Amino acid sequence: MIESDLEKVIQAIEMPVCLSFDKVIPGEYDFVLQGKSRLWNIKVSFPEQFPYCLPSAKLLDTDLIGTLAHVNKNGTICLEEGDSVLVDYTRPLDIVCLFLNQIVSLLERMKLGIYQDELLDEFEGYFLPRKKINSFYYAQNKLEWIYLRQGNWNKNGQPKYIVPLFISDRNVSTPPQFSNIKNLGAFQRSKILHIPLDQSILPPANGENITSTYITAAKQHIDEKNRKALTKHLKKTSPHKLFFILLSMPRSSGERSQLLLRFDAEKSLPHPLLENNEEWSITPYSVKRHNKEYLLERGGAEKYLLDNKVAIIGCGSVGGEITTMLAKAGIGELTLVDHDILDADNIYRHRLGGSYLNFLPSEKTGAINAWKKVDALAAMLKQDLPHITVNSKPLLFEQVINDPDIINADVIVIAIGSPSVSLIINQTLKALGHQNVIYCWNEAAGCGGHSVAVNLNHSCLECLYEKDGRISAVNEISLVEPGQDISKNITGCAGVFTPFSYLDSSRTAEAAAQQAIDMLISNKHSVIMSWKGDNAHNLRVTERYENMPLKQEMNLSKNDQCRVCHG
Amino acid sequence: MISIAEAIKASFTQLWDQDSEGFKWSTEILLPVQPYKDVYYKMTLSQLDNFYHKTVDLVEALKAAKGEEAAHQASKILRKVFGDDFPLVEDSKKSAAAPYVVTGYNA
Repeated sequence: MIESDLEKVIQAIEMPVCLSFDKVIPGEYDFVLQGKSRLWNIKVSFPEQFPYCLPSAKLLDTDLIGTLAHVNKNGTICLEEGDSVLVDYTRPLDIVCLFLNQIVSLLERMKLGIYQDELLDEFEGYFLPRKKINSFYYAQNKLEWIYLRQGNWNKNGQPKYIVPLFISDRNVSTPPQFSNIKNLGAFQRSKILHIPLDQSILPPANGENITSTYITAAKQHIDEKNRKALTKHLKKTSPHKLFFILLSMPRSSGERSQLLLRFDAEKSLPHPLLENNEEWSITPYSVKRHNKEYLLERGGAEKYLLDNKVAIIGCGSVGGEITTMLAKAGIGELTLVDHDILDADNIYRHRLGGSYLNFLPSEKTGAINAWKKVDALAAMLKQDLPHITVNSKPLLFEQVINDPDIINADVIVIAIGSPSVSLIINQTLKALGHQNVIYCWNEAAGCGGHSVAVNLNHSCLECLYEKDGRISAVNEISLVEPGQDISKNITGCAGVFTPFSYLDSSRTAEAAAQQAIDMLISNKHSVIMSWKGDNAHNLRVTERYENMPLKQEMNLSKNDQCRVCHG
Repeated sequence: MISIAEAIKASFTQLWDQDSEGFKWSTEILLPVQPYKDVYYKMTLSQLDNFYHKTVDLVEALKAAKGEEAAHQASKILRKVFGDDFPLVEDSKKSAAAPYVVTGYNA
C-alpha cells in the first residue's frame, strides 16, 4: 500500500483503545493503546504488502519485556496468527482496528500471573538468536560433557574466528549416512558442558542480554546431583578466552529449552561457571534439534510408529513410493525386498531418480554396476532421515521367507504388480502364519489402482479371485477388462512395458501406506481402497469403473470358495 | 468463586524459611471434625508458598475474567485456569465477517 493511502487508513482509526498515534517513519507508527490495566506503547510496522498481510507490532515498554509471554527480547509481539491467515484486503481500516484490539487483549491477558508458564516455556523463542547450531544431542536432566565440532575462519584478514558447528552426545553416535554429516569429522572436536537447570527461569529483566551475573544466578537451579558433577567437571577446566556451555531447562511439555552460550573474553579467564566475571561477552545460539524425539513430532510423523517394522516386497514405482511415505510417516524399521536394478527407463516413474544411475566403471572390474533398487532406496532414506533403520534385501521373495526381518515384520506390503506372483506370495504368507498383509497394484494405463488390506486369519487376496472353482481374471474390484492389448514397446520385445505414470503409482502407494498405518494403529483390515483415473487410452472398462466415484472403500469378506482360506 | 479464592489467600501468613533465608507464605487449615488436623500437614513450606502464589494468580485471573466485557476473552482466561475442558466462547468478532481469520491452510 502506498504511504499516502496508509496514512489515510491510520487517520481514520476511531476506536476506544487507540488514544494517540505518531508516524515515526513511512510505514511505521507508534500507538498509545488503552488497556484495562494500563496504557500500552506499541510500534506497528506495515510491510509493503499490507493489506494483503498483517502488520507487525513491537512493545515499546521495555520494562515489561522479559515478563510477558508472547513478547520476545526485541519487543516483538506474537499474535500466533501464522501463515494461514486469510486477510480481506478490501478493508484495511478494519484490519488495523482488529489488529490493535487483539494486541491489547493479548497483552492484558499475558500480564496475568497464570500466563507466566507460557513465558517460561518459550525461553528459546524469547531470545530467538540469529546464530544457530545444529545438534543431535537430546538434552535431558543430566549434567555431562558433550561434543562440539567447531571451525576456524579468517575474515578479511581478521584473527581466526571460531564458529561452533555441531553438538552431539559423547555416548550416542550420530547417523553417518545422514546428509553430509560425515564430513564434520574434518573439524575440531572439543568437550563442552551441558548444564541442565531443574526448573525454568525467567529471561533477564527489561529485555537485557544474558550476563555472567545472570548465569551465576541460574546456577542455584542446578539440582544436588548435577551440582556435584559440575564441581567435579569444573576442576578439569583451565582458564581460556573462549568457552561454550549448553544451557537447558524444563518446559511444561517434553523437550527442554536449550541455548548454546558462547563466552568470549579479551584475556584468559576461569570457566564462567567457576566465577562470575562481567568481562565475558555472551552470545546465545539457538539449537537446531535433530534428535529423534523432536524431529518426528515437528515433522508430523507419528512417534508411536517408531517401534513398528514394515516389510515391502517389490520396490518398483509403487513400492518405492510406499517406502518413502512410510519412512516419512515415522515407521522405525523398513525391510525392502526386490532383486531388480534401477534403470534409466525407471526414472520418470520411480521415486529414485538419476542420482542413483551409475555411469562410472568399478575400479576393480571395470564393469558399470547399476544400483539395486532396494540399496538405492536404503541409501536415499538414510541420507534423508536420520532416525530410521532400513534393511535392504536385493533378492527374490522366496529367498527371504525365513529372514528374521520378514518374519518379525508387523505388516508386509506386497507391491509387485504381477497378479500371479502375488497369489503365490499370498499362499506362502498364509502357510507361514503371517497375518497383516497389504496387496497393491495399478490398473492398466492410469485407469486406477487398488490397495487391499487383509488379515490372513480372516480373508486373503485369493478371496477376490476365486470364482466357480477357478481363478477369475475379472473380480469385483477390477476396473479394466482383462485381455486387451495394453503393453507398449518402443525398442522391440526386450522393451515391452505397461504404460503408467508416477502419479498413478503415487495414488496407489498413498492408499497402501495409509492402510499400513491404519493397520498398525487400529488393526484395521479386510478393506479394499480403490481410486479411478481417466480412461485416456479408451480401454474397455468394467461396470464398476463406470459407476464408482474417484475414490472408493469396500469391505473384503472371506470367499467361501477360497482354497487358501479353507486350506 | 472470587471470594472463596480470596478467603484462601487471606488465610496465609508469612514465615521465615531457614533454607532459603527468606520469608515464605504458609497457612494452616484445621479439619472441622476430629482429629482437627491441619489439612495441609503433608505440604512443605516451599509447596505452601507455591500454593499461595498460585492462589494470588487465580484471584487475579478470576477478577480479570469478571471484568472482561467480551465473553470470548473471559473464556480464554478461564480456560487457562481450568484447562481445556472449560468451554471456549466463540469470538463474535472472528466470524466470517472479520477482516482476517486464521484458516489453518498449509502447503
